[in-house]
Amino acid sequence: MMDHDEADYSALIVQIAEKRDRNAFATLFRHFAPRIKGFALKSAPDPAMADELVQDTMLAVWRAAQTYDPARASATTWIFTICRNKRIDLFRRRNRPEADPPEEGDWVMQPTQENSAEISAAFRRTRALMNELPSEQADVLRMSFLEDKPHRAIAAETGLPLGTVKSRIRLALATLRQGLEQ
Amino acid sequence: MSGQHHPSLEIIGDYAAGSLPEPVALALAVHMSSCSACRMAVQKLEVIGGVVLDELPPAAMDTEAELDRALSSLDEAKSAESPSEPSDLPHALLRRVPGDLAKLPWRRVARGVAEFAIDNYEAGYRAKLLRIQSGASVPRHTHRGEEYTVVIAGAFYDSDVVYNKGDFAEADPTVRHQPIATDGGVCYCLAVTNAPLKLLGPIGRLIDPLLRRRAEH
Ligand SMILES: [Zn+2]
Repeated sequence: MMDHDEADYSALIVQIAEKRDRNAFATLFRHFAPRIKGFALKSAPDPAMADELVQDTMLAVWRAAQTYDPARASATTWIFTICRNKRIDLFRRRNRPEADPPEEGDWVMQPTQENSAEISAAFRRTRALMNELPSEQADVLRMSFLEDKPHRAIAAETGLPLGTVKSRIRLALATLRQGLEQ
Repeated sequence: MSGQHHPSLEIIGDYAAGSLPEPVALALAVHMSSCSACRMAVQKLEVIGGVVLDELPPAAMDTEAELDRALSSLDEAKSAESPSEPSDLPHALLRRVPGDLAKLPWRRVARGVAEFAIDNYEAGYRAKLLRIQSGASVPRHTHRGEEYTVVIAGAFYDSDVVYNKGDFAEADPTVRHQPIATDGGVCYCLAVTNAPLKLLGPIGRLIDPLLRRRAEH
């Protein structure tokens, strides 16, 4: 579990950005690679493809380290977003449509200590809120993040009606959003 | 600042999860290119993915061998994408259509209304650009499935609600409507559907079966 280490992982990414530090990369790889592989296996039970997703994701971490902002995302969340996008590229053979970056003056955040602390707090708060969700909601929410599956596929897999899957995910998201605003 | 009309939480959540069908993700990316509130909402929900990744038990793998493989590719790893041409259009859209909308091979569908189909790249979904001349209206219709519309330029109104650049509209089979471009100039939209439209009114009922056949084949 991340509590003690999250700040360290952020620091490793910053070291890669600033010094192209291969040792920092190795440390990061040893922690994240087996989790990324586990993530890949949830969408497709193909170990060779899962190893490719690990390579694609970690090489992207190396390349994009300069764009990582510790005040905007925790290390684990940032690596999740890269891994999610690479999974879409690899499995669907398409690039994910992304929003244009914000213009100057819009969406400004300074990478201060306070912000990094807020990012860690938001991570812990999100995890706590997820653990408080009724398990029927938490289960489908996790499936939607883990398995690259639209609601229809989750419905087929669980045997639940599509409307039930949709409403459980909607309730879970609403609870999280509300909880994160407090 | 635009963005008075935002996508539902469900769409934002599916985009954060990575499970939103690509054509709908394209519409959302166009919206978010001018809506920082929705970009922030996605960022907050992406933390769920971080938590899920963090909780996963590590899978069995030959970590050192895979690390060596990665280390040996680091030097070849090319850096970021080449900068793209400046354009008024969001980049996500420019990857799908040429930048100059006026030069697209538009196909007329009604008086003052033309469409350009973007490739049919995800099973069950169609994405198309609509060009609606100032004051012209899309034929009155309802839907057999969902429809997601985002305004690229200009504005339209629908049942007295005005949609400006960046605004996002969702419609389903319960909605019967007739979007009309405002007098402010040509309105360009991206419309994504997962089932053919159903035209209403006497002429609509006449040509609807033809449209339907074309959409399904
Ligand atoms: Zn928005």
